[in-house]
Amino acid sequence: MRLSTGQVFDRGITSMQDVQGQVSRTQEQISTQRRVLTPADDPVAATHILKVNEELSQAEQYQKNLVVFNNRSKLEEVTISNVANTMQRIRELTLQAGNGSMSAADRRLLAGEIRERIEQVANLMNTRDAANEYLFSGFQGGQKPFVKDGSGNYVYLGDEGRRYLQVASETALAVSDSGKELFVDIPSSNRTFYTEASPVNTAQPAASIARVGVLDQATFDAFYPEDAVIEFRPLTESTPPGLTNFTVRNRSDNQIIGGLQNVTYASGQDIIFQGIKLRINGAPAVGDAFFVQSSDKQGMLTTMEELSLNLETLTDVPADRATLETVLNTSLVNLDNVITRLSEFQGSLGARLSTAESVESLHEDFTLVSQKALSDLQDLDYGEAISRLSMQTMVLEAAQQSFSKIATLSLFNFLR
Amino acid sequence: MAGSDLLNLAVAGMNAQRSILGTIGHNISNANTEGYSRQQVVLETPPPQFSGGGYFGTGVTQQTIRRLANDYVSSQLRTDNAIFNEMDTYLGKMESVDNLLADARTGMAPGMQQFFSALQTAANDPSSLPARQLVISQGNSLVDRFHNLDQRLRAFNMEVNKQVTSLAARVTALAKSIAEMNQEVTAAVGAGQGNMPNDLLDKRDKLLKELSGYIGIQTVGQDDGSVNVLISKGQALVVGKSYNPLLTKASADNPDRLDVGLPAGVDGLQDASDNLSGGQLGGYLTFRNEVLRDAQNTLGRLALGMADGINQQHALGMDLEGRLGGLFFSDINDSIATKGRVVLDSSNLPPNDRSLNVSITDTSLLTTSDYDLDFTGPANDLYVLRRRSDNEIVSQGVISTMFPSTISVDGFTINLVAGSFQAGDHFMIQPVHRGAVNMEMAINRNQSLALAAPLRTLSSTQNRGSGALELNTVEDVSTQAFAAQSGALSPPLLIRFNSATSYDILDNSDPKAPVALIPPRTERTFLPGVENDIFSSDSGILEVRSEGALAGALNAGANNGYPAETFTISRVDTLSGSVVTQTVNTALNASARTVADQLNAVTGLSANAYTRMKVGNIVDGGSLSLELNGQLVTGLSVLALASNINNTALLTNAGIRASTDGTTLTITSEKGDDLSLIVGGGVGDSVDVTDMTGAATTVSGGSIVTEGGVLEVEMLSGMTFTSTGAGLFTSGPLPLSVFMGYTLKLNGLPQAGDTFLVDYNSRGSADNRNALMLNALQNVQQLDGKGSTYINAYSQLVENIGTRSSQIKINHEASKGLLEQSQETRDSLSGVNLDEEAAKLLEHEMAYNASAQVVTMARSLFDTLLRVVGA
Repeated sequence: MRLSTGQVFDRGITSMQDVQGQVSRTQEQISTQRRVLTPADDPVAATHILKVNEELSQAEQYQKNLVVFNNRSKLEEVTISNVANTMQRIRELTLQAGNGSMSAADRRLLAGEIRERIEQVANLMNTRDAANEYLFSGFQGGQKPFVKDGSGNYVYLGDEGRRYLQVASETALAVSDSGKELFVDIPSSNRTFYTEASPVNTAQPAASIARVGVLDQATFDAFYPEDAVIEFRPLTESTPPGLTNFTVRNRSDNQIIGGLQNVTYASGQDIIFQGIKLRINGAPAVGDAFFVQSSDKQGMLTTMEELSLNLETLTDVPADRATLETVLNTSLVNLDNVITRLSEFQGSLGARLSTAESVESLHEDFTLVSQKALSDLQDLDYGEAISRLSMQTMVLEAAQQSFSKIATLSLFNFLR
Repeated sequence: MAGSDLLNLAVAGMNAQRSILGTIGHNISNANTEGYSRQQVVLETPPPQFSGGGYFGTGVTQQTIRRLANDYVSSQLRTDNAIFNEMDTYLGKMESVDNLLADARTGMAPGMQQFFSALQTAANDPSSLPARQLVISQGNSLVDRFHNLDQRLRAFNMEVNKQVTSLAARVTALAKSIAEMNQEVTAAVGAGQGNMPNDLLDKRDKLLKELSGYIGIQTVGQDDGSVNVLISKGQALVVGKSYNPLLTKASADNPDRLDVGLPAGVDGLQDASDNLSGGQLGGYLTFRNEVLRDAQNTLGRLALGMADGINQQHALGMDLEGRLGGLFFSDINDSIATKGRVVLDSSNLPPNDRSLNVSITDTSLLTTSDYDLDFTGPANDLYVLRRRSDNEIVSQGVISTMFPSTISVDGFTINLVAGSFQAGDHFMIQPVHRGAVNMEMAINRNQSLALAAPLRTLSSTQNRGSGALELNTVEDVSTQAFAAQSGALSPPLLIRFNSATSYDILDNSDPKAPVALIPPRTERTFLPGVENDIFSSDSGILEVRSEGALAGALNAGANNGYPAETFTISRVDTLSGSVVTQTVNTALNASARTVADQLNAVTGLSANAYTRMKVGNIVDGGSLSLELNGQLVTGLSVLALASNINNTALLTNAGIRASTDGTTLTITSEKGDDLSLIVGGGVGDSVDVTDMTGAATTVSGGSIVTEGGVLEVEMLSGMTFTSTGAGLFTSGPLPLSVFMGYTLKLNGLPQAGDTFLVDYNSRGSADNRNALMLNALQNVQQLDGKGSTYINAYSQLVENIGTRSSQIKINHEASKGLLEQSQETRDSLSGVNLDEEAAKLLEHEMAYNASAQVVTMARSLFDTLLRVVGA
């Protein structure tokens, strides 16, 4: 084939440029450590890389979530186990109180310790987490869950909300337990009751209702599971008219209980019906209502308070001694129920923590595998790249040398 | 033979060789001139002369100077040059887009990941203000990424427009030069008496080649030496010595886009931008048509999908201050966005009064295509809506004469608001094009981030069973339930179990006296041990109640007295879209329970039945006895009767129970069985029975009465329910909505008397349920007909662009090879080889010397002759 002089030069230049392009690409691969520089280099791998990167970043986030989970759950675990230890101590004190040789004065000493323990447990139950949120108040993180009402009884102000953390794409682990479940809804050996003010009461400041206790268990057992409503009636209904008065009814069928209709109200008076005693304090408005909720559950703080109250007040007369025995027996059963409940939750916490552990190791394995996959997809094989580079530079040198040789060949050199 | 002949012969030879040497010199000087074709002198032997003994040769003459070029090769070279330049330009642009999308700094993927990570962090600690602030910052940076990417793509478009304009000008200038060259060539061919002006031809070929680098051309040579140049599909750019300018103009239906074409009419142009190919211009246009629009639309759709998905979920939550969640990103259907989705064609006939907009209805159905809405005529209200991606007609018909008129397809709705739409009107509809640029953050206070769910459920401490109530989903916060402004649920609910298998849902606004909901939810059936759904997620769910003349009325006799009834139920089949009608026939005296079972067998219906009878004023004349559904119940007070009924296993097992307030006995069949009461004894014995219609009847001894139950039937959206009437149902029962906007789930084994509350989640600062739902959007297939997650949709774009650019890369290599090959073919034929010229130089120098030698010899012959004559 005929070659023009221009062609000889063009060919030389083009082939050198091609090889230079290859060298520069290999060099870029080596300096970025990546095989796929742009999606066009390997569109399928590029899409995979995006996907694997997303999965990796999710796994990384899940691992961060697990750290949060572990911190919070361990705090909960420690708190519950502290509460459980204290309860064990109170149980010991209860057993001690049953000792026949104890005098009323001795028991008052025990009651003193129990009072202190109550404060200690209440503080534990109001523990806050690292974010300054109450651990056991459900969704109402800013609400102190266990506070004393106007009558000095502890009431629960949180809710039953339970927070979950996403620790894997399909796994969410509970990271909180409500104080209600843990410390309040505990089976009681005797049927008992708790009191509530209606949330729509209008009196300002609100009047409060306080439980005193079950006076006559048999009568109350017959009433159970009925609830009672104490409703403040219009002033016109009282005798004589114009006085604050209330009526007590069954909640289910509105029957009036024990003739307590339009009873004249005095703040702090004992209200006794169906074997139970309670008090209302303050100045309720007409239409305000208070509920007596019979229940077979009793909060642990209530159990302890009842116990300490009885230890303080019961004397050494035989009748009181008999009452004491009953009280101690029911308290022991209730305390055992508390301890059982706490250990149930310790168990479930342990289970969650171990799930978290296995999820964590899954994430670690996954991360390892994905990083390997990512590396296979995008990382450069250095050995191959470097030998390719030396090959290409060799070709480039050869092209340059041969070009300079060929370019100087000309017949005119001989026409002198 | 004369001596002068010899001399002439020699001079002719010398002349010929000298002109050859001259041409060689010309070749050598132009060895490096671009576009130069080597030239060759063509010699010819003139006709011989007869002179007795034969024909004598008369020397040599120069026939012409030949240019070594081949039209076919040149034209192939131009074609290959056009393709190569197109690919080269296209590839260059593709690589920039490619890098832009996949780059960690500019691409969307890391932005989306960081946004969802921030949401997770906030979910871990929902009341933490810094964690909330991080979500807002990452939201802002996500929006910025959308804007930047869209901005870059828009900048590409502007660059394309700029390049197209300057290339069109360059093409026009070249066309002008070629036309001028044509004129010169034609003149030279005439003057040269048929000899070709070789160097002019080279110059013109060079211009043609340059032109082919800008735009694909076809050339047609003419007899007079001129050449015509055609572009696109045979449109003439140059004809002889005249030319047409290549013009650009903003597109009538899209101001962002430049049309390119040859002049048509008065300052108009015939848009050829979809047909032009080849050259840099072709490269830019292909890039614009195939890549840029698609990339912007895909990005826009992703932005719309994310904004809509996050907004919808965010609206269902509750913020740190107890308010319902508002917008997170700006409303995808705000008035600026909806108007921006329509481009009015500037060539639509006046008056310029058409007002229309496009709202997005379902982001999962959106495509990445643009649409053309044409009023095709002949009547003014006939329209055709065409999808550009596949040129399918997606909707056509007649717009309603009553504005606003709507056209809904592919996840969006075109609202024709007002104006004189007329035949010939054209609108470009771009539902997703501006999605990315319109995306903005709507939320700016971290307290307004709705990470909590707006509702909480509570179980009463006194519950004896193990039932657990949970919020299942929040569907819609625009319902009555969330209408109260003060962060309260209206009404709060009390769920009370009447037995282990039946519950009422009551309005707990006043906890001391909960009242029935409207419509009432009474004696709902509970299935113990499985998950029971309360309320429907179907926003169009309706309920009809049995309010016929006989429903719940007391009937004298052993039957409830309900006549046979036929119900007609229609529903829209989800697959075919057709209306399916079904009838249900009830038997004479069928109990409400039986009818409910029949209705529950119908797809989309859910029926609940119960029966309630009140018995009071028990008068015992001495021999009163009562038998309920075949069971003798003893006792003469309501208290004793209630207790006896509740202790009769055959009755309680059938779901029949009793309660009393001391004066009245209430008997309930929670399943809707008939309640049949036989009053034994004589005339002096009687009870008063009040049925569910409220009518009271005194039943004396020795008679039997039966009361049938009532029904509530819920039907899914789009269903209708009618009856032949006069029995349980009226003929056209009034459907009432029972959609609450949220659903609950109730598990476990509750017992009679157990209660649960549903209330607003006031102070729920530690709640992260909505944050978890927002997070879940990351892995939910939300786009492309619910086939792609957000990140998938994006990686598809990256893959598409990547695949296309790798394909272009291959094509680019191929076109480069072809160009090199045809360049070689051309150079091989037309290029100057200096060695060759050197050799020829020697050859022709020798020939010249030889001819000169002949002159010398002719002179010596002449001298010899003169000497002989002179002597």
